[in-house]
Amino acid sequence: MSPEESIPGARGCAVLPVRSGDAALLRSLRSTVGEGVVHSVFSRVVNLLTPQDRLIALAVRGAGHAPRTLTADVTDWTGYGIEAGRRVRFARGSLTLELPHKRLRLTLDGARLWCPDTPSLAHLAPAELAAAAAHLDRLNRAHGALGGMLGATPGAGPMEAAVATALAKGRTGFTAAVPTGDPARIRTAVLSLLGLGPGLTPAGDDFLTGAALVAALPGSALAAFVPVLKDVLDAHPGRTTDLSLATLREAADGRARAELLDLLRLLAERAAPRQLDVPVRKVLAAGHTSGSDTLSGLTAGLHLEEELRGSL
Amino acid sequence: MSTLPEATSSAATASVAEGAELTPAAALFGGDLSVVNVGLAMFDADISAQGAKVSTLDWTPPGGGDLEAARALDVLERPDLAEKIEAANAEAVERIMAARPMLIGFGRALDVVPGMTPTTILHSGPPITWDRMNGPMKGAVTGAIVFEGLAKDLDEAAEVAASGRITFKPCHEADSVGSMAGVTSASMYVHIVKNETHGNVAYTNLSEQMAKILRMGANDQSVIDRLVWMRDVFGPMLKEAVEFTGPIDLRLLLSQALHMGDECHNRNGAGTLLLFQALAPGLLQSSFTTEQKKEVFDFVASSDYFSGPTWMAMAKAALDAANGVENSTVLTTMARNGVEFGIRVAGLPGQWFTGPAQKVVGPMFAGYKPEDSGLDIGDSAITETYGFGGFAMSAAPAIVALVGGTVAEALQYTRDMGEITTAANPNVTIPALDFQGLPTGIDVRKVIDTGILPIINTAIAHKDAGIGMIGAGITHPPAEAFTKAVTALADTLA
Amino acid sequence: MSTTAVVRKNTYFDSVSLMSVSTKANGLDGVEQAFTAMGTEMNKGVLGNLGLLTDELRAAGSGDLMIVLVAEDRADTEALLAEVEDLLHRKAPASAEAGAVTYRTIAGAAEGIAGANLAVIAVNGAYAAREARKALENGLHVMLFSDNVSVEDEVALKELAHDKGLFMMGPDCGTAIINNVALCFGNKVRPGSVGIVAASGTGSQEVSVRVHALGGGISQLIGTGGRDLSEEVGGIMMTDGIRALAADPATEVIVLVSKPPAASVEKKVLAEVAAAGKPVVVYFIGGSEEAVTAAGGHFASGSLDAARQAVALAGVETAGTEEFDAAQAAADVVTRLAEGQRYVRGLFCGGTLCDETMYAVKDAGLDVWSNIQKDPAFRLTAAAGSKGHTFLDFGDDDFTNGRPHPMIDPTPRLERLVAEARDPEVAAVVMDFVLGFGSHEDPVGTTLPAIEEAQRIAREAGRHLEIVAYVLGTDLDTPSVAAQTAALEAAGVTVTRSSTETGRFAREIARKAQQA
Repeated sequence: MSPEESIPGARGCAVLPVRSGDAALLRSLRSTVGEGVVHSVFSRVVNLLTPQDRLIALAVRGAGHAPRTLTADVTDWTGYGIEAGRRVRFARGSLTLELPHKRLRLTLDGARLWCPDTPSLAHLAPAELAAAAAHLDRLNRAHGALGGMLGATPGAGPMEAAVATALAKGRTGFTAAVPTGDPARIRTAVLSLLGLGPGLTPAGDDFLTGAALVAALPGSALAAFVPVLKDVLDAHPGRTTDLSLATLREAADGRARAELLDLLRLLAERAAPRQLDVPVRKVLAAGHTSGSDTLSGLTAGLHLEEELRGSL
Repeated sequence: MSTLPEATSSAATASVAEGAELTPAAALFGGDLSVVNVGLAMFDADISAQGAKVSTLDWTPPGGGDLEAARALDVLERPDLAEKIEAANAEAVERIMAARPMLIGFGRALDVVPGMTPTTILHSGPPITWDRMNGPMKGAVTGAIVFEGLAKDLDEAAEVAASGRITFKPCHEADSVGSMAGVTSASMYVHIVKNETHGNVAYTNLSEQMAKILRMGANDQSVIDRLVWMRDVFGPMLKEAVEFTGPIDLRLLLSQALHMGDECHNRNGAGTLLLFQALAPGLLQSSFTTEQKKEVFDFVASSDYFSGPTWMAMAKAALDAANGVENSTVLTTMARNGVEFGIRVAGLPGQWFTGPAQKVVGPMFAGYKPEDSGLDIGDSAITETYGFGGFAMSAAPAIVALVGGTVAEALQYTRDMGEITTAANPNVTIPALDFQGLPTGIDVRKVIDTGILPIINTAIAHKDAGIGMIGAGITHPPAEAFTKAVTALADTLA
Repeated sequence: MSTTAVVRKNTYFDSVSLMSVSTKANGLDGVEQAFTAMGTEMNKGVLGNLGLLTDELRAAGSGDLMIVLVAEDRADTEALLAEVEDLLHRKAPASAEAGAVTYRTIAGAAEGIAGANLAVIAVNGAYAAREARKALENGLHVMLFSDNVSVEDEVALKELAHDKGLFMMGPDCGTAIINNVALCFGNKVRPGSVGIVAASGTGSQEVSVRVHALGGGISQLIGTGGRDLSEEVGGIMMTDGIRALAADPATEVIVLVSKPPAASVEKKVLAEVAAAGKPVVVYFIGGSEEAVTAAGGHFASGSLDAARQAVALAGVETAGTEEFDAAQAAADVVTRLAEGQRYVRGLFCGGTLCDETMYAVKDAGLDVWSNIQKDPAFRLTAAAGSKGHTFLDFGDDDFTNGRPHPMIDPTPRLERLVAEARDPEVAAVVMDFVLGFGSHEDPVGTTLPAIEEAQRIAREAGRHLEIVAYVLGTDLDTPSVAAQTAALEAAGVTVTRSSTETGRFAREIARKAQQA
């Protein structure tokens, strides 16, 4: 649908309904009034900063649910003329983007609420956790993208190789630090991964996101990791990109993209290995190496969960 | 040099029509100068700076600069011969466009593909021996040998392949096409596509969906396991499904998919939905368990490529109808085996004209570099031979990011292909070009004359066996294949 | 190896675009590895450990995209950066360019562009005839810049064009002015009533420029290609050109420019002159007066004479120009010469300019050697050194030998200029500088260092070397004739004001120097 097709509004103001969105976000937007700004523009996502400087996302139809994300009735943002730095007016029930030739109003009324439902893996036996982690790892290695947590591609240049080495070292440090429960060691381990890696979202962040998500599940044995992570993020917000920071903060609250939560739910329900293929593929489809790196973090989290559970 | 006195030019005729007394010279002096600039771009700036209209051609020498090809073309342009060729080409494209390929079933290759034996392995492209095959094709062949139980592991499979016990044959010589390595063995399931208009049948195997698959040269246990499941569950269920649904009109689905933004070679999202929509009732009625049906549904949903092979068989069934039209210079095959690119011409049935397989240029998956790429491979260029794929890039502007380019380039690709084809297919049209039909019937003469090579959208396989797909992009056939074809045409027809 | 980086502030790309940029950057010539990452502390740390952290990268923030290129030493980093910028910009919406259509073939363009009426063809000679034929078959007039086209092809093309009433200018046609638009090599001249049909490129440029300088203007300038008036081709294009100008209401006077035609062709052309119904000035370089006059034509002895007669016949009031006293000027030069300085050497870009000067010297009864001499006894090859009075056409195939024409690239002449300065027998060097469309943007500026070098060599050997230059161009050309003349005069070069005057001056110097 082109912007022109969706205009019931008058005088250069196009109106787009928001179809669904993160329930917590929609709730907070109903009482948000003020001026924000467009943070960044991609073909499938437009990121905005709210008047409170929180990053929120406007996704296209079919992009999947995620925290702090609204899904608008659009197939692609290209062609709307949205640019970073444009003003966004937040009013009760709507957001209005000031575009070069017109305004684009997103209405929130009637948007379906998405409540991320955080499963618990507390009932799984260590052996089950180990089997799940091993299966996910196998799928990741078979279908995931090299270049991030899965290691450098064969014949990679010096930069990619150095980043891959640093990522591997970071992972080793992380998996050694978390079981100790020592906040200082965990903090160092987090800092060695935060903001590290190629591409749009650094691979180290994606890894931490996956691990944090496991730690934030109810009854997790890794719970000690969560407050340390939050402290690090608050103390060093400049260490990584705004997008990564927002994703990590949500993960620390047990909130993540629907595909990740779906996958965890299937694990909680003891789904047969083959049933994991399609959900894993959806996780891997995110970004470039992002999906694969997040899955690596998730797998590391499950291994740690198993290890700590075993020691009880 | 011969001239064609009877040829009247549109512009000359037009100026005569404007006023009987106005000579072309007077029309030139009295009108605005509008220059077509050929060869030196520097003149373009000078002419436009003086306020005249000028359009500089993106010119390449005929036959990519091969003088022999240019001479052969001169032979084919002799008026008497040219007339015969025009008539033959008109018939050839009429057959291609009138063909109505229907998906009439699925079956085991051994049961349905002509000439298939338990030790036959079909491959993509022109004929090739085991020792000359590239990494991905060797990987696929050894994987297939293990899958067929002809060897216990990949090492032994390589010995079997080299032993002479396996009959290697191009898919195209068994009424088939095969994507990428094209490796098709006896117990693999294939599509059965019948051209209802002319009665011929074409076959192609099933999509393996993911990136790490046999056709891309991967051959580890996960690949073999999937092939076994496809043989035992996926293929038989599809077979039953079509028994319930009855024949499916593929040309109709193809034309709908193009209207929905596919070019049906590298982008198959819409086509897969349409095909699945057609198959779903049959799949549901099949005798398999719900669990197995769920697996099949998940498998189809796991990649948009599900319908990719289907369109290839559709194109093959249509193009084969033009094989053997005497005096025709229209292509019926473009196919690559990873080492050579081969073409076949309607008027020279059974002959391959080859040149070296080319590189594929385009974005690659993270971490791979161009030198990791295997050379262009697969029978999938049958889609471009019919007129979609790269030829229909303007129907699928969303594809340009994947193959590296702009929307304007996508539109230009289709226009360019119009310059080397014979007709526009009214049955399959492109909305963005005012519903112009697919550029149909690649004419060897026009390729040589214009220097425009057909454009092909395709995937990139890793050059080594066992790794799989690492990117996608565009490529062209080698000019050499066309030079050989035009020379053979000049020798045969003159 | 060296590191080059592009940092994009607060820039976000879709991963597909980023992948595409990264892949294309990896494919650039000279790039060993390209790497894209956000400018976070950790990423900068890794680059720092590798010694790849530049100041620019150090300044990058977490929200900035870094594109790091490790390039080979020989790589042109500026060019690489420009290419990467280009890749990044390509992401911009393509809708603006969507309207532009590029054609691949003449047939496609003729069909697609309403009103297309002329093809300028400059392709390898092996394909030139084919393209020209396609253009004619599609109803386009043709200007065929290419050479190396066989006589048979030329005849066939011209016959086809004649049958269709189209112009077939060329092969080897470098100059035309159609509807006041100069094609390929041509000068910016006033529109007017003088029409030119010419078999020689610089000859017609010279006549058009002189007509302009005298206050006249050009209606059309039709090139025929150098071989049109040969026995084999039979002057098809010149005949058709004369007829077209005779029928053109805007043309009042016709000027023909060529080397002397083959006898049979001359007869044919003069018959057209007689039938034209308009005054026709005939300038056949070195041709005879009688036949022209007998046909009712106006015989011109040189290019300047041709222009003067044409302008007069067109009824244009010409401002009285002061006559150049070549004899007096030459006498002044000769007094400055040392003993043994006897010869004139001409180094030309324009073939007709070389011809006209050479004939002027020859007409004085002197022996001249040249690469375009008809008499084999006086012919020089490109490799041979100069001999006596030597006049070289650097635009001749023998000299260009695959390089660009000296009008585009004047550098091949420079070495020869310096070599002539070393020769104690040389009294004067004569050069031409051709301005206008297609030509080098500053031929004088490119040559000045060599001129100064030549003068220095002569001075140090105790000689005066007279350098004579003619600048072919108009006040409307870029650069203008005045600007180029001023630069030459400032360097102590004597600048002549027409090709004819150049010939006269060269002749007087040659005669007096040899007698001295």
